[in-house]
Amino acid sequence: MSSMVSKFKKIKDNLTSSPAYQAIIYGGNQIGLQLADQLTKLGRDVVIIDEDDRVLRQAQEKVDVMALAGSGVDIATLKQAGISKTKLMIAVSNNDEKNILTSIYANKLGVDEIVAKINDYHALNKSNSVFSENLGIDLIVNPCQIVVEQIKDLIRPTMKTEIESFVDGRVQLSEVMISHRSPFAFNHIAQIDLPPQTIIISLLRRNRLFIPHGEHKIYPGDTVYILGKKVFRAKLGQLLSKSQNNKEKIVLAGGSNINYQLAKVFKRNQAILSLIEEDEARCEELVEDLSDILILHGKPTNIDLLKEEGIDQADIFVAAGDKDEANLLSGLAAKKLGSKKVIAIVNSLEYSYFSEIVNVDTILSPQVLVLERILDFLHQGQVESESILNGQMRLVRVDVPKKFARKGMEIKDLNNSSDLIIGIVIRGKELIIPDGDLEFKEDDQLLIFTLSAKSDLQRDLFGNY
Amino acid sequence: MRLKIVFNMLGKLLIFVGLSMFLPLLVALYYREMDAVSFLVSMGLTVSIGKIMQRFSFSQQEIRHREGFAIVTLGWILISIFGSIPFMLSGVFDNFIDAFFESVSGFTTTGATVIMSLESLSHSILFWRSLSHWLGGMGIIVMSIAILPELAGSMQLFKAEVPGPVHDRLRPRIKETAKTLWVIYLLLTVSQIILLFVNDVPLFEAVIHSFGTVSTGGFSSRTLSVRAYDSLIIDGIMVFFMFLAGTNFTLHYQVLRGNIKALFNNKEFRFYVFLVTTAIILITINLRLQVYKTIVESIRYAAFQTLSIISTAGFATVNYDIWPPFSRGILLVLMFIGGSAGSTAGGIKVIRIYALMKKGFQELYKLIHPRAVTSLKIGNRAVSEEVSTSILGFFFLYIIVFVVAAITLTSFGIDIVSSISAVAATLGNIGPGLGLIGPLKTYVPLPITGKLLLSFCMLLGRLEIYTVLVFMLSGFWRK
Repeated sequence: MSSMVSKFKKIKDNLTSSPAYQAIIYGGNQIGLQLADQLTKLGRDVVIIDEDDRVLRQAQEKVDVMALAGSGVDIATLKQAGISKTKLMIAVSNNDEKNILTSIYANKLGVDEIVAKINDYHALNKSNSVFSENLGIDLIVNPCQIVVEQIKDLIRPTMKTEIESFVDGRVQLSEVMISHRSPFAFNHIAQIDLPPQTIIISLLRRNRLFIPHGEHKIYPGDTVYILGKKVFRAKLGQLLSKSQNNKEKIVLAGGSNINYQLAKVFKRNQAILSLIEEDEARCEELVEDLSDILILHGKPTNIDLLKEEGIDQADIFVAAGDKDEANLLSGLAAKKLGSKKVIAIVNSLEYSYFSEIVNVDTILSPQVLVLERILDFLHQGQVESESILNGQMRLVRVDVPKKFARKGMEIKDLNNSSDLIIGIVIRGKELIIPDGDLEFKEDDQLLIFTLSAKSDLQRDLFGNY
Repeated sequence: MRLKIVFNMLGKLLIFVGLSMFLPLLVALYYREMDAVSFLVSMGLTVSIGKIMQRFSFSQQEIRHREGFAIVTLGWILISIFGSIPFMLSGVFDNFIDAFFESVSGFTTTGATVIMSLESLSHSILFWRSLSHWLGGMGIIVMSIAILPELAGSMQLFKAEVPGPVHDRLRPRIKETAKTLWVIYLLLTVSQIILLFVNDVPLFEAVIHSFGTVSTGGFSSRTLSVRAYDSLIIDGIMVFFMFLAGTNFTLHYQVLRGNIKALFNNKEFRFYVFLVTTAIILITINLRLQVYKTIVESIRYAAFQTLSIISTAGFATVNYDIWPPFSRGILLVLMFIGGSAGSTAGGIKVIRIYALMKKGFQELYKLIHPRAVTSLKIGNRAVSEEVSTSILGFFFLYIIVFVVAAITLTSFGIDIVSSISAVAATLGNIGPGLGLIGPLKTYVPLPITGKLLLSFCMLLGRLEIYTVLVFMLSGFWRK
């Protein structure tokens, strides 16, 4: 009976609820479709605008969206799409100028949030802040830039300090990406020699966040989140940067924009760079533009050439040519020939799931990265302030029950649960980042980091106290 | 084909239809009729079979094209079968075929009947007949999409049920679109009920006739249909609402939102108005010269019959079977044309006729200018090659089905005019035809196979041929 009632309620809600949040996506390409799919799942109404009728028909069948044939730079089309009641505009068509123009129109027509994809790297130099400020574009995504940043992170794992701070900034969360050379790599958590008063609260591996325990091992590619008091930040930095002074040999395959930007980024960072490009004219262009780099004319899939240039000595091999298949193939060859770390760039979304099949270390798809960047941006406003790491982890304050504290219990006596960790113990004005032997006192307050969405943490932790 | 998903959906639809039997049950209780029992039994049966079907299947996966077609076709057949149970139980018919025919005719909004005298029926049965019209008019599946959260994104089902070559969305989401359509539908119905009621039609009959008009069905509560009232005002109201029901609901939506200009800019609507007025004028002149003495009488009958046929409602205020051949000829042509796309009307649809005409002229034009690059345009919108081919294919299949069915009917010994009009009237979801099945007659004299054939034609017409025929292709069942 109650199931019937709830069913009726569901139907009633379904009939009366009317989502008011509308989004317009200009560009029915793969990114546009994926975004539309995600947005409809988030409960937003989506209108896709594209010039191509056929793409739209497919879109309409795959995703529950309204499809409009037309151009984003045509105001009549925008009005037809209901721009006046639209809160979000995403311009991701393949044409930069149209994306920019669409965004400007959307801004003038009163859209709150505007996201634009712009491929041209030059349009976006830091000095060119005209864009975001005057045009009202809230987020500009540049696939090339994102890829370059990502590769940079992979090659030179960096520590980002203070990605979050708690208790008036007295405690901070730092993010450390683990590379092969990192002193942390291949160690058990328990073996890691962290400065006192710091704690690893979570580990991100293959996009999955979990709370590690002493017996867990850290592998290259992981991202570790470390909680520590402000003063310990410097020590942590020292610890990590011990062995970062060697020169790395980086081989870039393909003279694409991505590799060009990479070459520029690493120029000063004392890496040994070589770039292989098939097209002679492009090679000459690159030589003129870049310095401190060895430009090789040849096919990146030419094994003799790779061997000759000492690919087995290479630390990093980036395959970023124009063809996905060639990138995967040359990446595979390089890996086989002994390159330590291989990154292959693929443009098509289908290949981005090939990492299981093709034996290269990382497959990066600009499309996926753009998608993730935009989704991150959209999530920002939604996630409650009490959660961190894109909402994957929740922060809960729990009071220690007096009875429990009076018994002189220690942290390790708590009911152990794998999806939460006690980050900070607040004792009056003092902050303690605890280890297992800390004894509770009365009026202690705990700041707990948890992965679950459960609300009754108190019960979980302290049982029946 | 994943039959389990199909069965799950069919179970849902059955539960839905079963629950809708609650309304005639209420009517029966209000009028204290014995048929309450038969509705209670049919309701229980339908809902429990629906539940059983759901229990032994699952619905986690997403519906693909094939399943969409299967669900819609099988769904309509099943609904018609279960809709005929109350007729059987209350003893209106003594054989299942007649009950099935009546039920199909109801849900497909055809309005062809095999009941001789409507006055002898109970209120609840009359109400059920009309309710089936009303549910079938906008589409049971469209309604389910609007109501059931599970079906929220199923464009496949929506496309398979809503008539017309292209499917405009009123709102970004299918669910919202379906909801909006039903709200407009409900508004039209309620306003007609009120107007009829104000003009001295008893409430029960006002409801019956409004259900029949807005869904373009044509079931009445009187054997004489609307002629029983013999009132100019009521005729006028009916004409007006039949006209509205034959108009694209997208236009209703736009007008309701204050965009009246959309009416005049819409090519299909203009062509629809043009067809209606031309037909009325031609028939009026013909009638004034050969049948009636006054021009008012001629216009009144001409207008009502024209709209009744073109909107595929199939009400009648006069026995047009005795009209001169010219008028009857025009009515027969209108049977094929039908109303606008996206309305509740049947037939080939005005927009397809318009596109076909343009396409034909374009071919002529190309003969003069062999190198001309042309594009088929309706209004400002270009019709893609794909859509125009599908329109051509539709027209061809429609005519083929029509020819085959009509020839088959003549093999039962039915005269040519009756056969042709019977198939045209069922395929176009109109109801009454000419000759043997004229406006004052019923489909009773037809043989059982003939009735089954015509029931099939009604389904073909309602689901616009493709949906049903694709189901019968061998490739459809291949894994």
